[in-house]
Amino acid sequence: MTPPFTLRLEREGGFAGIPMHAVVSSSELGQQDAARLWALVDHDALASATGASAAAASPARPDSMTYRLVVETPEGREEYRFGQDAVGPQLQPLVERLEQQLAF
Amino acid sequence: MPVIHRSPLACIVPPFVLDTLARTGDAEQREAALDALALDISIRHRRSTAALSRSLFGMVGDTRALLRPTLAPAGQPQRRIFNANNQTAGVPTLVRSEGDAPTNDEATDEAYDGLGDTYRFFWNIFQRDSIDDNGMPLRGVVHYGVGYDNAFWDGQQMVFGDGRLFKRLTRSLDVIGHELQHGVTEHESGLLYQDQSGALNESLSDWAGSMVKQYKRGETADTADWLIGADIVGPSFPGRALRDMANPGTAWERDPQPAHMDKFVVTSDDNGGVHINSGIPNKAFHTLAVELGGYAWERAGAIWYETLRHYRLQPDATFRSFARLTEIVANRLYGRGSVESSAVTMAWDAVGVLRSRDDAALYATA
Repeated sequence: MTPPFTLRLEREGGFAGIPMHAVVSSSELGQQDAARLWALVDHDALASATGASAAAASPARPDSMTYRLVVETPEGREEYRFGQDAVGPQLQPLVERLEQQLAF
Repeated sequence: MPVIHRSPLACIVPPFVLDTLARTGDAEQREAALDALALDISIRHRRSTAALSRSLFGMVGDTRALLRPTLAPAGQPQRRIFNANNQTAGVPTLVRSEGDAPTNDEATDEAYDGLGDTYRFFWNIFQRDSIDDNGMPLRGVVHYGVGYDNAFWDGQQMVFGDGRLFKRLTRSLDVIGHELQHGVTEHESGLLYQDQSGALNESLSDWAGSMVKQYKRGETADTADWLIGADIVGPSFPGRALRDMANPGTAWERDPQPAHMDKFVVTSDDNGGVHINSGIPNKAFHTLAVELGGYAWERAGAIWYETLRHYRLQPDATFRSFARLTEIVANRLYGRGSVESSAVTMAWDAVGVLRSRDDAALYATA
């Protein structure tokens, strides 16, 4: 069962250095699309990426990008922060899906 | 005409004399002695590296040429372009090596050409032999990820995406020059990518990107556009470029770059605003270049280049310490009280970094 959800992705850094954001809410999607997107939200992978980024050597590599993802459901709100290097195969589809909604 | 400074004291005066001069000489003698000692250390480092290379590979001799990682002579780039095949991991495919014919893949050929243009700029103007000044092969990776809106230096190579909101990143020569300079900075001062040192790191990359573009186009300081990223923004972008070195804060409708220390942005985002506060040193260089006139890569560019590779530029440099070093370099290259030296102080004054010439002079003689 897919809960009602809202995903907020913020991306910063990169060559451009321009912060961008995307918001996708299940209420704006069809039932199937919402279920497909929710299936990409892997909390364990997100937590792992957040931990890996926090543990990584800082300062960051020049022009690399960083992400902040907020997942909101009736159960609560989770926030994850991770660098592009921490986006592995498990998170790649989610990030790519949400990046399609990014706008200036 | 660019001037590449080498201390006349180097290799002639014994180290103990240099040491004495560095401790007890007047300001000019101390500067020269410190430069010579640094060069001496650098040469000894190269020699020790050469000895290590001999032990590993059976090489003979300790000249710099023998240390070059390729067989190409200095002045010749060694480019290798790889296709990531829209992946972000795995082994990319080698698609074009030095001397190969164009591939008809736009990103591959743009990366090849852009890296060549950037190499030739550094060689022709500063006699710099690649990223490490020792013939390091130039690796470019194209078609990274799917619609990847970015380009970056990963410590070994330059990586370019095809873009989604932006156009293909390899379209822009200033993007390619910018990324290559990140490699140069890593091999020289190693400016930390955080806060003011990070903004200097970013500014030097914008400087290089703009210099390469102006050199390629044959533009003088007053005719150049000083824009960064103009070739990768499309009609949906609310502005003419990502950054404007001549007028920071005006490139697009929400351009956050300050042009003066009064507007310095304190933030934890963007590694302490490295892409934001870089507007301040960007504007200082533009002001200097326009004041001196002619080609920006000549006198103004020589001062910046000799500063970015100066042994006294620390990884945690601030705008102020960098500015003071440009004054020292200008004094060494062109003389105290010269037009160039005065223009450097004026340029930093204009952006609120060096407010007092007396203060700068005090540092230079300290």
